[in-house]
Amino acid sequence: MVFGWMQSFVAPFVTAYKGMFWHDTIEMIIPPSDVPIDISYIPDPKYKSLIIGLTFGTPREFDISTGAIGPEVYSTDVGIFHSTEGYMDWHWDPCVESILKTNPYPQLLWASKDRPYELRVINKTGKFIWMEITFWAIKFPRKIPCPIYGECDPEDLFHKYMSGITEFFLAVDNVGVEGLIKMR
Amino acid sequence: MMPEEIRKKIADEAKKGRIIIIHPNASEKFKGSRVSTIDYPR
Repeated sequence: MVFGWMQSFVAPFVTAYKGMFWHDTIEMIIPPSDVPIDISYIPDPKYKSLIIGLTFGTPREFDISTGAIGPEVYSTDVGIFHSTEGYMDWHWDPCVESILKTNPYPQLLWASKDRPYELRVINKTGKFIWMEITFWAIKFPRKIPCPIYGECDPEDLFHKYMSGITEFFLAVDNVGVEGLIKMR
Repeated sequence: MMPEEIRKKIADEAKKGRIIIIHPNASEKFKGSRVSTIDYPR
């Protein structure tokens, strides 16, 4: 599994503030339904979690009388809308190859008991569906010590850190390479 | 192999039109008015 886009700037923050890598892998049995079913996911109620990716497993037919898992189901009649307030707008992920084979499905958003990760599940196949999903995350205590700002919410500190990176590179652009050399 | 009591619970909840989520800490992490959780520690 590769999160190459994340390693350059997110990894130093995680290392410095002792983020704990982990994941939740769930099984879902989804009944056929004419209406959506809403799920709120709270990665760990005691922590703030930076969700860095999702892996969708392949949905399969499920026999509720025997518990047997059957053939794969690729269909736009089954899928998941998902959203996290302030970070990811609601959008539709049907269970088709272009979604299911984009693994890990990259994310960069904060979730907690105050701001759950929201899922809206659709199943209009007329069948019971078995599906597994993995949420990849890094969790931080709700307050972390920072030598500059003192006790901080990790989400707030992460925004400061990422803004600092952006401002640094904009400043570099502003002064140019010759300007940087003169500063030495 | 899924234990019989869990298979039966899945069947009962699924027939009610509820989504079932299975995970060692499912009840702590997943909420919803049509969500049933099964804490299955393995």
